[in-house]
Amino acid sequence: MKVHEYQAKALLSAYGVPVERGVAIRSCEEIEAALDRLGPMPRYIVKAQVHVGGRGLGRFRDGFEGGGVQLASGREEVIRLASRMLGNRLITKQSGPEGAPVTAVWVAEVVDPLLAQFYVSVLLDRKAQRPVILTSREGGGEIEDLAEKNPEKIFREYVHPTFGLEEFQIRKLAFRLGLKDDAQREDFSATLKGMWRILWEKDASLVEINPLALTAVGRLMAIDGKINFEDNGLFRHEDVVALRDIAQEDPKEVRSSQFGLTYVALDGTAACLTNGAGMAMATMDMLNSYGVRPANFLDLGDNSPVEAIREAFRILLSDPHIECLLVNIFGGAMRGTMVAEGIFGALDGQKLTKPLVVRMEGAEAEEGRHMLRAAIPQARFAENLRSLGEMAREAIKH
Amino acid sequence: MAILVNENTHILVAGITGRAATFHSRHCLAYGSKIVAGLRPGKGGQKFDGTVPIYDTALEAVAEQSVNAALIFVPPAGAADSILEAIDAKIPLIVCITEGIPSTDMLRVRERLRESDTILIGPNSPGVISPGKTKLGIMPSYIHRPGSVGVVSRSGTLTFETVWQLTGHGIGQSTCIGIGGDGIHGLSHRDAIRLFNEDPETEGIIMVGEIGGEEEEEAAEYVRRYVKKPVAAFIAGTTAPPGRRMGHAGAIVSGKKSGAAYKIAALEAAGIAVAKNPGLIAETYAELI
Repeated sequence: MKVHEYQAKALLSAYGVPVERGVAIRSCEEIEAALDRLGPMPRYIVKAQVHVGGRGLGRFRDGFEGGGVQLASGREEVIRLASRMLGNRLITKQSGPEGAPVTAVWVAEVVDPLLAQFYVSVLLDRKAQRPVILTSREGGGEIEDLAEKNPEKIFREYVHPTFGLEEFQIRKLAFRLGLKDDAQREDFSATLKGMWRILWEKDASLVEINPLALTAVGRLMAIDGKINFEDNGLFRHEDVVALRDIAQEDPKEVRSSQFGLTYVALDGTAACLTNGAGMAMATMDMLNSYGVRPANFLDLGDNSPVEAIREAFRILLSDPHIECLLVNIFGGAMRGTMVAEGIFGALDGQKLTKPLVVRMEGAEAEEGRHMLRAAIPQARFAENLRSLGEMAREAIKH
Repeated sequence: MAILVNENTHILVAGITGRAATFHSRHCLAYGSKIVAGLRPGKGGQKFDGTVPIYDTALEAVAEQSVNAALIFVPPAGAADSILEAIDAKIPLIVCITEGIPSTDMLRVRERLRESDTILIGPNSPGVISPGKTKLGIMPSYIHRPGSVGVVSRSGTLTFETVWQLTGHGIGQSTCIGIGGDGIHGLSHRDAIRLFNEDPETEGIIMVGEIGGEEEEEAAEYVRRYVKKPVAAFIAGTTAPPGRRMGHAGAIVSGKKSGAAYKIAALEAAGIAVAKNPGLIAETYAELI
């Protein structure tokens, strides 16, 4: 689960990380009071809060110019910028053509000049099967680019999950980054300790500060912040769940997650009902290899009740762009008859007008196929994965 | 012969009274699996389906029955604790079916595993089966056929798909292992391939991987150096959009290395035959032999 920059900064600050001073504003009515709290500043930065990246180079859907991150020299200008951004939609290279809704803006003092910009993150390293801290003197840019071009410029330190982060590890990284001053090392230590504790105590999968700035007065300060939380850990963190901004998510993905389904919207025209993540991915790959573009990734899991299957099929039907529906079920616990019942529930007595191709194996598959054949006359039944691809291609052509 | 599990595997099912555990335990028993004990704190002394004794702790179960494997169905909040309990009881093989265990919990498990001789399969695994001998998991029984191909996969349903294709081609399986779709987990692709390679009655290997992580590449390196048996593979997620979690916690493309194209190239460079699409997995293997 993603959270906004302002929410990440609030959490970092609560965990003792030095963070730039700023305020989050969620509605136009709040602007004046928020700026009073912040106090007068020579120059402000105003940042649209959306979950997608590329904000600075983004453009607003109503034509408002200047991007999602803008500078302001006085209070009046902040008010003008914030009120144009709030409620607007920001279109970035990651957002899709509709753009992401700006549900809040972050206003802070412009900190400059910066003597240095560091990169710091804490995440889980799958290869080592341990948490790792990544740091670099070359902060401020894309870490992926740096990792590819100059991997030697990234310093890493693995953290033992139960012993935790040791002081000497913090010192090692601090001196490698060239932090010789005691006060700077204290800031750095507070930063790393806070980030590690958030990862460990809140089940975050990524805690990232880019950049961690060295300010003109010689202190460290987070001027950006990003935290991703692991979905598997959310059940034990009500405070984290409260940070969720569902306006940033695809409505179909939100609906499906309420039923324990995994749905990822794609831009094709063949709707897919599948069980198991691997099979759902393989179905996508199969369709693409036949020139059929999937409209979604959908993993029913293997243990969903009929209600969840019904909801899944409803979500598929609600997409106006789809040309055909594909069912690919290989059930262990999931029975074919349940899948058929779920589909009937979603149709609710209505006739299915679009082509339907079904591939079904596993528990009660024959009965499930029989039920669907009897009720949906145009349904076609694929014997295997390949014929599912072939039949899907024919269904799209017609 | 098979690897990891066979007719002498004596199973303790943790969380045996749960809905899914009950359903799948019955299917395992029907397949001939030797479930000798159940675990459910507070229900010790009772019996599952009137036959399998239930214990309060793993230690008691191990003391009274000849347990040498644990099959875990405990819900996510308590699953890692259940794995730790089985490690503590020195059960040599643990298969964890539970999906949705937080990674921080699994990191603690990983540290304990480093200090023990226990092998963990999963979590978020469909289980492991040696066809005709025993099954510990949720796979449909009828799709399997005893034989000499070892199958290892990160996905449940895609394992079923692979096995079904093999059986359709008349190719039987020695052991089929689902290592699970989570980022932090036990047995790796490479570990499984090493075991298959050392098993005299496994004649060939199929690896079903997916986007995310670098495990398939590590396995490919092992194959390149040590494996003479034919190896075929499939990588799911060639057409997955980057940065999106595709159902499995572990299936996310982050950077070039975890993408399908990079993985496929690494596999092919190691001499592994990679199926062009998921409908061709068994065919790709059949062409090798």
